[in-house]
Amino acid sequence: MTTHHPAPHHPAAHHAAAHHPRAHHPAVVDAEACSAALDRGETLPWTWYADPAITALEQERIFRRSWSYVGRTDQVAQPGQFFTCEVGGVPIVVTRDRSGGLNALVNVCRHRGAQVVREDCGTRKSLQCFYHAWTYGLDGSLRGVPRGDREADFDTSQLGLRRASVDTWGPFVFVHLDPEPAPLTEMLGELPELLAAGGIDLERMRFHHRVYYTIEANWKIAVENYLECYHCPVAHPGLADVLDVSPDAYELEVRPTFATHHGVVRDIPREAGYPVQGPVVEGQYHLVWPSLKVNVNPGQPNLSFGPVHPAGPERTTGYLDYFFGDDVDEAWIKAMLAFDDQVGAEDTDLVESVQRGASSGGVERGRLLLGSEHTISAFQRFVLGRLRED
Amino acid sequence: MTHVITDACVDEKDASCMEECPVDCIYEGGSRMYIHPGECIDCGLCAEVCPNGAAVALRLLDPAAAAVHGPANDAFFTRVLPGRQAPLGSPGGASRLGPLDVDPS
Repeated sequence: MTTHHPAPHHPAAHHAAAHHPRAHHPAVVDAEACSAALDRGETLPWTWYADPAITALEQERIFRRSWSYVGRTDQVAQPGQFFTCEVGGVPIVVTRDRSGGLNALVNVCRHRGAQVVREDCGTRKSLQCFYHAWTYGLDGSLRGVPRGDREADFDTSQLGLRRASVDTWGPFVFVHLDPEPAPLTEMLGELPELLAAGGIDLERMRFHHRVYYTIEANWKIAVENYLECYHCPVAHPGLADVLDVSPDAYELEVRPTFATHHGVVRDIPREAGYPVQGPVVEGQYHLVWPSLKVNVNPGQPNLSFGPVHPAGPERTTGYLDYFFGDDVDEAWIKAMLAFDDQVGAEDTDLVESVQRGASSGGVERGRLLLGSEHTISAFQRFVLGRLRED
Repeated sequence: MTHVITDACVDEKDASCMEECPVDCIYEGGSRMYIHPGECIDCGLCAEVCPNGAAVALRLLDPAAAAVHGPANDAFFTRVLPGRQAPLGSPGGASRLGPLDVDPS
């Protein structure tokens, strides 16, 4: 289980697998065998964790076909506000237009393909490409093209920025590249109810800060580490001081679109790294397919929320937006974050070690404990299912 | 055919157009702005950002309005402004010239 990883960037990352032969895409031709292996408690082939062709296929069939968390409503509260992001490697700009509408636009000029908006966030009155000054409204419609009036049959109405779908849940903004995707609520399932039942009232949560991180590992390894707490007694002593991580107390559950952990605070507290008593009586940690982490630690109302993305076959980037209840004091926040950072650092070490071993070519695949790691199997089944889709 | 500033700018001078213009071709006169007809690239950004609807594409005006607003806009550059010896011509950028407190008579 991972809460977050403000992981240092390791420029001298190990890429031992670079010199080993790898299965060529499409490795998914072995889908039936892979499915049978998952039934036996085996993992997907380790070659899938270092193969650029698999990563490209995952971008296309997983990340470009899913709702992605991209930012917060407070970033686009006022007309003209915008922020940029990527969904499945596609640049996106989210804007609040003058009519108050929320837009997700493919941030690629319809002329020559330049990125129209190059800042991370800010306020604009329009979207103008810096290359030839094609000018778009905040809603993406093409409003002006220098010399366009000299062209015959030049229909600007057909050349607006491509639109993606955008939706919100509480303070969270999601984007889907498909103009007519399945509803966001379908992906979220019962997650809103689970959070509410756990003492998290989104109306009273306030954004505190964002943490970016890079991990030198395949994104699936980062997710899979998050999905089990079998490693917690061994690798996370601080976490194990707070939560009862024994197999009979710590609950793992697979839902149709996400996996969830519930961990209760120990009956007989050990010395914990931060004050764990408070209205939030249990830790809950959710992973919404494919890669959205939703973390609540016990104690005062707190929430961290954010995705990981493949940044290459053996590199993962991600961020977490931290929220706290509006009456939580900074001293508690500081103590909880120190605890959280420690768990994150431990997880980064674990995940990068797995990457080095898994990508070495020395072993074909791993063997899971289905009693404690069935959430990993469920995730891998999701990945396999998506990669088999046309 | 480029964009022009109409008299809807008079005494407004919101200046959003000047701030946003990618080629710095919108000049400030005493009572209003003027778009340089030779320096304008006709991108339409000024029309997009002007809160007063004063920046317009000349080609989108009806002929009678174009015959009024086009020359009124261009006169800032083609006529000799009060207190000057020669027309402005093409100054090559409003920030280079700076604001003037006069308009064509």
